[in-house]
Amino acid sequence: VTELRIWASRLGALFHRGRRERELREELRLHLEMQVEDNLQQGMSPEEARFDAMRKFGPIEQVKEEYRDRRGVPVIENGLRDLRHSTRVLRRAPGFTLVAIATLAVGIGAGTSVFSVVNAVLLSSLAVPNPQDLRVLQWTGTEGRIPSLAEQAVVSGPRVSAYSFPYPLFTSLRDAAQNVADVFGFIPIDGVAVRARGDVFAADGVMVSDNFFEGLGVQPVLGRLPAASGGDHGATSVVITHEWWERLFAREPGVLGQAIILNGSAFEVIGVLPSSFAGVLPGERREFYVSTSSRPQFFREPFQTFTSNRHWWVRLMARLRPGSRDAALVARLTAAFAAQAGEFLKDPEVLVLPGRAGLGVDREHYARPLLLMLVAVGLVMLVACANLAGLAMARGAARQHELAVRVAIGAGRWPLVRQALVESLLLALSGGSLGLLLAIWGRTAISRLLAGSENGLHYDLSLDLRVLAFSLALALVTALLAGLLPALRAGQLDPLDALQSRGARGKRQVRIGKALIVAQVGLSLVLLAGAGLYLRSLAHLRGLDPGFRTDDILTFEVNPASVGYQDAQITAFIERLQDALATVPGVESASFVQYPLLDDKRWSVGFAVPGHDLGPPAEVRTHRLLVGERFFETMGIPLVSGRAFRTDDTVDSPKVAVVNEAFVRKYLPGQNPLGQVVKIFGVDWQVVGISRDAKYENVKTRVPETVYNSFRQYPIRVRSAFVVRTAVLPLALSDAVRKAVAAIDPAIPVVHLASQTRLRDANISRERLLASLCGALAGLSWLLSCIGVHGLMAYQVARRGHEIAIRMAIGAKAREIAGGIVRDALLLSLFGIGLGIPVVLAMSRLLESQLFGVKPHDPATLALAIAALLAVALLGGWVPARRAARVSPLTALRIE
Amino acid sequence: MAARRDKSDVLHGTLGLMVLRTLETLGPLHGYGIARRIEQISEDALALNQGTLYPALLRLEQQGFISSRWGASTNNRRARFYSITRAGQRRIATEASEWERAAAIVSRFLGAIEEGS
Repeated sequence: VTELRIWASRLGALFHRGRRERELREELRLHLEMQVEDNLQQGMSPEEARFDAMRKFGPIEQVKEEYRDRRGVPVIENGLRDLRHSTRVLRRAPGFTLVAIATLAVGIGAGTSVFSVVNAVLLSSLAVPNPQDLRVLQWTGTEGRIPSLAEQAVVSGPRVSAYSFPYPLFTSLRDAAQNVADVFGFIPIDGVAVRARGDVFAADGVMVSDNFFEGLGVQPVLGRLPAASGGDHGATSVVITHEWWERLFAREPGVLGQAIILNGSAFEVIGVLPSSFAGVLPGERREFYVSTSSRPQFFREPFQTFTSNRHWWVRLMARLRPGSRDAALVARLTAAFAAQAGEFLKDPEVLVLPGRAGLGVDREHYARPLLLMLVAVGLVMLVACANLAGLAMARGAARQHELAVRVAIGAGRWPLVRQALVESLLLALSGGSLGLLLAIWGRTAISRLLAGSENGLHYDLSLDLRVLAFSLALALVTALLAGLLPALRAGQLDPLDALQSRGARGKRQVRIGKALIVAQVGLSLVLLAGAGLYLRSLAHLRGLDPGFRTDDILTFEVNPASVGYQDAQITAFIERLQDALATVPGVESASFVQYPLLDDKRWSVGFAVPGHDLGPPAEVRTHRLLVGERFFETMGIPLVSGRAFRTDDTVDSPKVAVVNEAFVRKYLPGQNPLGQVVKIFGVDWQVVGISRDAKYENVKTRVPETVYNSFRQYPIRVRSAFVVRTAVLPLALSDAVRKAVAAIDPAIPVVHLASQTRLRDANISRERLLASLCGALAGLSWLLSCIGVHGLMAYQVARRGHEIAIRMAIGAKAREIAGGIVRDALLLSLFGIGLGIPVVLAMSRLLESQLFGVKPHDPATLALAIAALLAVALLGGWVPARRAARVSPLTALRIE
Repeated sequence: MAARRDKSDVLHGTLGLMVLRTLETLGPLHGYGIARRIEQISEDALALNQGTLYPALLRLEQQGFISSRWGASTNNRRARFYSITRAGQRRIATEASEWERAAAIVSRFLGAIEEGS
C-alpha cells in the first residue's frame, strides 16, 4: 500500500513541476541562509560562514538530482526535460539545425522513396490468404524446339526455360497434381477492343482457367467469380477489377448483369474483384478476367491453341495443399510433363518456384537497379551521419565550457550523454517526418522514372507499415550513428581539462572531426564515381544512332483483327488508313509497320539462301519486319541500292524483300544481294533492295540482320502499328489520328499512341533513372562534404584564433595563414580520396553489367570525381581561410 | 549509480527514524531546524551531509509519515514546515521496537563472542 502511495505521489509530481522545482530551490536556499546566519552569530567571518554552510550541506546539485529522482518519474521527467532542453539548444543554433534537418529529410526521404518501391516490387505478396502456399511453375529442358512460345525463353548454357505451357499440357499437369496442389492457369490477352458505356478503348485482360480464383483464394466484393464447380460459368461472362468498377461504373451495384463489349462480343459482368487484388502479373495493368471457355470471342482464327501442344502460352501457378511438399509436386508434374513434351524438349522438367508475389518478370528486371539505389542511399545516409556527427562535435566543442561547468557542479555524466542523444534523436525525427513528406512525392517520381512513362509502375506504392517502420528505423539508426560520438565525448569530458587554457581545448574533437571528414570524402568519392559512370553511360546511350529519325515521328497501334477483320479485310483496312493518314494536315508521310521500332518487340526467323551454305541451320536466323511502301521514307532509312516496296507488290505478284546492310555483311559478303532469294518457312522472297542499317527492338542492342517484307504479301493476324512523320509536334496530331481511324471503323480503338522519341527514351529509362538518382545522391553527398569541411575548418579557425593572431602579430602574412588552412583541407580530402579509390575500383565492377560504352574503371570519370572532391576542399576551406586571413591580431588577442 | 542508491537507503532507515522522532518531540519544524536538532542529539558524531536530509524528507512525506506546509519562520521568512502524522507516530513505535530488538540481538552476539574468547 505504501508503494502505491509513493507512486501516486510521484505521478502527481509530474504536474506543477515548475512550482515544485521553485519550492525545492527556495527550501534549500533558506536552509543555507539560516546556516550562514547561525555561523555569523558564532563569530565566523562572512566568508567563512558561507563556506562552512556549503561544506556542511554537501554537493547541492547532487542533492537536487536525488530529490528529483525520488519526486517524480525520472524516465518521463528527464525525457521531457531533455526534449525541452534540446529544442532550446537547437533553436539557439538555427543554422546548424536547418542544415541538419534538411540533410536528414533529403536522406530519409530518398531512402523511404526507394524503399517504398523496393517494398512494392520486391517484397510484397499477393493480397490473398496464405500467399506463401502459392507456386509458379516453370519448365526447363535442353534442345528446345518450341514452335510457338508466347514469351522470351531464358537460355543459360544448353538449358532453355520459360513459364508458358501448351493448354493440353496444362490440363494434364492439373490432373497429375491432384491431392498435392491445385494447378491453375491463365493467358494474358493484350489490346482487346472494349466498348463500355459508350466509350471505346483498348485494354489488357487475362483469360483464366475455371479454378483460377479458387486456387488463388480471391473473393469478389460484388457478384460471383467463375468456379471450377460452378457448372455453367458462361462463355460470355466477365469479372472486372475494382478500378474499372470505379472508373466505368462509378461503383454502382447495378453493374452486375450489364454488358461490356470485348472484341465485338457482349460479355455480362458477373463479379467485381476487391481493390486489394492487383492481379497475378505484378506491375501489369490488367482490367478484366474472362474464362477460357470464352475463347471463340478472342481467337476467331482456327489456331489450334487449345487443342494442340504446339502453342505454348498458358502460364501456370499452383496452390500447395496443406501438408504437401514441393518435392512431391515436382515429381508428379515432371512425370506428366515429360510424357508429352518429349517432342519439343530433351530432359524436360518442371520447376516449382515461390509464387507468393505472383508471376513477375519485373522482379528480376528491377531487382538490381533497386538494390543499387538502396546502396547509394545507404552511402548518402552514412555521409549525412558523418556530417552531422562532425557538426555536432564542433558545436559540442563550442559548448564544452558549459558542459564542463555542469560536470564540475556535480551533474552526472549520464545526463550529458543522454542529452546529446536526445538532441540527435530530435533532429532525426524532425528530419524523418519531413523525409516522409518528401517520400510521398519521391516514390511517384521513381516509379515514373522506372516505368519510363507518366503512369508509373502499376504497383501499390502506399506507405504501408513496413515502409513506415523502415523510415523510422532509418531515422533511429541515423540518430544513433550521428549522436553516438558527440554523446560519448560528452560522457568523457574532463572538467579540469576543459576549463583549463583555451588553446589545449578540443584537440581530440579536431582529430575525430578530421576522421569524419576523411570518411565523408571517401564515401562521396564512391558515390560520385558511381554516378559519373552512370551519367557517362547514359550520355553514350543518348548519343546512339538508331539509324532512323526519332524526332517528329508518331507511332500508334490498332488491331482490326480484334473486331473481326480477316486477312484481306485487314490489308484493305491498312491501305485505307495509310491513305487517310497521308491526307491529315501536318502529316508528311505515313506507313504501316508491324510494330513500332525500339518497342522491345522482335520477330526472329530461320531462313536459307538457296545455293549458299550459311552455316548450321539453327544459327541462320534473321530479324524480320513487315512494313508499308513508305516505311523507309517515313523513318528516314535510306536505301543503298535497289528499290523500296510498291503498291503493286501484292499477294499475287512475286514475293519481294529488302534486306539491310548487316544482313549482307553477315550472310552475303562480297556478293550482289539483289536478285538473290531468301527462303523463309518454305516461301521464296527475292531481294529487290538494300537498306542502311537501323536498330530494331532496342537502341541498346546492336543492329540485327533484318529482312523487310511488305504487309501486302503477308497475311496479318496480329496487331498493326503505324508510323507517321509530322511537320508539327507528333503528339499534337493524336486527335487527328484517332479521328482518321474512327472514320474508317469507330469500333477499332487506337492504342499506344506515342512519339518515337518516347519509345527511344523508354529503352534507356532504367539507365536514366539510375543516372539521375545516383547523380542527385552524389550531388547531395558532395554538398554535405562541402558543409562538413567548411564546418571543421571554421571551427579550427575559431579555436586557433589566438595562435593565428600571435602569428600575424609577429609578421606572418595573411596569405600564408589562409594557405595553411586550405592546405589542411586539401590534405584531408586527399586522404579521403586515397581511401575511397580502392572502394571505387571494387565497386565499379558490380556496375559493369549496367554500363554501356564506358569501362567500369574509366579513368576520366574517376579523375572528374577526384577533381570534384578537391574542389570540396577548396570551397570548404576557402571561406574560413579568408576569415582567418582577415583576423586582426589586436581584436583577436583582446577577446582572449 | 546503484551504489549511491544503496547508501541512501541504508541512511534512510536511521535518518527517517531520527527525523520522525525529532518532529514528535519538537513539533513542526523546517528542514534546517531538523538538521540542527539531529546534529545536536548525535553530538556531531554523525558526519552527515545536511543535504541528504531533503530527499529523506520527501520520501517520508510520500510514505505519509510526515506532512508539510509553507508558513512563516521565526524571523518572518517563508519556510516549509514539516510535522508528523498519525501514521508517522505509529511508525516510530514499530521502528523503535525493531531497533531495540535488533540492538538486543547484536549486543547478545557481542557478549557471546566476548564470553567465548
